[in-house]
Amino acid sequence: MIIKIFMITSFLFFCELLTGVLYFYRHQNRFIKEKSVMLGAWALVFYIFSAFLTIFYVKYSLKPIIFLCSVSPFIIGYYSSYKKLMFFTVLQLLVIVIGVLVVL
Amino acid sequence: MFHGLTGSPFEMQKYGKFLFANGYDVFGVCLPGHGEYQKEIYTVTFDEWIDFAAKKLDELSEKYDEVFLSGLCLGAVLSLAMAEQYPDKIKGMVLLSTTLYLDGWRLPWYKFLMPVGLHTIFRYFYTYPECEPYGVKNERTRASIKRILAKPDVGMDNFPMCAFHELLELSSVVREDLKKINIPSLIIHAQEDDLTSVRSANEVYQNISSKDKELIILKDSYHMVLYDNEKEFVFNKALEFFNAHSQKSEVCL
Repeated sequence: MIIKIFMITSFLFFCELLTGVLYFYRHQNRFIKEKSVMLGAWALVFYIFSAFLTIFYVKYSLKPIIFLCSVSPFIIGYYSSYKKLMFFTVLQLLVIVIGVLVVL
Repeated sequence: MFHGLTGSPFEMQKYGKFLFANGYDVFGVCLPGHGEYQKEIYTVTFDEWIDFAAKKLDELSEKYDEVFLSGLCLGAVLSLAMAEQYPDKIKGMVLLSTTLYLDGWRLPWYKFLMPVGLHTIFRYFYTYPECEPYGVKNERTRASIKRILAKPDVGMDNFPMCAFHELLELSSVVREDLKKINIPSLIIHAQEDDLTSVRSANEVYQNISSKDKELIILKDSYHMVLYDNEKEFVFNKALEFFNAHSQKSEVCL
């Protein structure tokens, strides 16, 4: 059940981040832009929380990978810069995909 | 003089003019990533603010016998950084609405998401909009500020989260070395500051090693103390401080 929740939150976060970066986060309408970023932040919070819980429900060998997935937003955030924002966003998307593939 | 986060020298103008009229040479600098360089606010780091301030301080120290610093919000934190690194070059400082923490009452209900906003890539996407009460308790002034913020060269009408991130990084660096500060200091902060609580001012007052220090808590103002109900009081207190600590003929701020 927890693993399913993790997969769902990963999917939602992936879609939110991808569509946000490509369109909504740069929208001319400030209301749309702000609300979509807020939605992204909430999706990230649920992703982190569900990833953390998933650590306790996967095989021992997969625990470090899922742990890295749960802290990846902060690690990527630490090293990110505005000039390489697209690179770090793609990296975050890859981490989400890896997390899902690992638990499948 | 150092302006606040997402502000510009414009917000220090009345204060600067008042001090100039009372015999001081006043220099209001535009920090990197602000004013006409607003687009750079996404790429500017706190190190660049420190380097810029140090360079300006160096230039003024060569021209003037005495140099005082004064700053609002981010400007106050920058003044603290300069006092820690270059105590011999600064005669004294006046700190207004020092922002070491973002814990004011105006922050929205979702402020618990701040770690997500500050420490992930979302800090480059999210901007916190400038909103009521615009840091001002006086309603007439608030209405004027709303109109003025519509102009691009006055200040930004939103706070990019990455700018908050750099301010808090600067704050954590400054807080580590507050005990190194031993120059005369006047700290002014509003009890009802909407952006940063008096905790910031109290921490500075309690931790700096200056023997000559004073903390004034304003009862009828918000964050923008230079524009609010007690602005004349702030101007006069700052002037009293500078007059009390200035001995030479050539002085600048």
